[in-house]
Amino acid sequence: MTVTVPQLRPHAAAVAAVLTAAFGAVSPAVPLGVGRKPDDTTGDRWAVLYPLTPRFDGPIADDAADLIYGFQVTSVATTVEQVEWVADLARTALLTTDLTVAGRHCDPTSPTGGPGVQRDDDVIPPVYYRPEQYQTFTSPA
Amino acid sequence: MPIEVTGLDELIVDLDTSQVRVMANVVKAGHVFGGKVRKLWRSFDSGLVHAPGYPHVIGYDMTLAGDGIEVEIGPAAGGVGDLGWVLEYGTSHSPPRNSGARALALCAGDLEYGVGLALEKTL
Repeated sequence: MTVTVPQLRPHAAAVAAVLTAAFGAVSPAVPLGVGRKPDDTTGDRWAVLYPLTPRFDGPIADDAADLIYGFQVTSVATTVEQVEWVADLARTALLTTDLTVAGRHCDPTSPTGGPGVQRDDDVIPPVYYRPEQYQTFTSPA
Repeated sequence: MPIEVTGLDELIVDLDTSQVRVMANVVKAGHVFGGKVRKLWRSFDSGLVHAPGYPHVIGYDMTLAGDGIEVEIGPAAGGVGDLGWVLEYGTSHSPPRNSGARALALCAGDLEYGVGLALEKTL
């Protein structure tokens, strides 16, 4: 019996690759951090990718073969307009680009929700941020 | 060959009341589901140093909506409950805990099972 174990790291890398390409296509580029604030936040906008708790599924004989991979992109900027712009950039890239993970078929990414723009007064100077969650269903290719 | 069919009156009465009984059982399934998500969500968010009281404000409300039910689960508005968005989605400098979504995902199958059971018990 063959048991499939979906690897999470390549999924995170695939999402990061899509976002990095989109963020790198604008000038100045929007820095992306994975799991933490990017090192270079000298600009007035950035984004952070957070992988969320994965859910496994599959047939009885291989019950973890399929993966529902969820993640959050938190767009951050010093103004509401900028944060919406970064969030739009991320959303457009994620919803129009299929993830590429070796050995897996990835369904199109879909948004699963998130609150509106929030103001973070815990940092000085205050910044605005918009968290948006997404998920994709992936199965063995 | 004559065929005798009896009990039709009882069947009519039974079908008349079945909708009410289905609803009663669906409401029961909704309460079980709401309670289960609440319990899991509370357990995920317990022991927070900066918000020790937060789990206690997580609750659920169930309302009859049209021909079904609506279960709303989450922290109560006001006080420590206002931390709900912050804990669930994080901030510009803190990661999301995503506890509500995790609890909901773990219990989604239970709601389906509960409603199925409610229908089965009624019919």
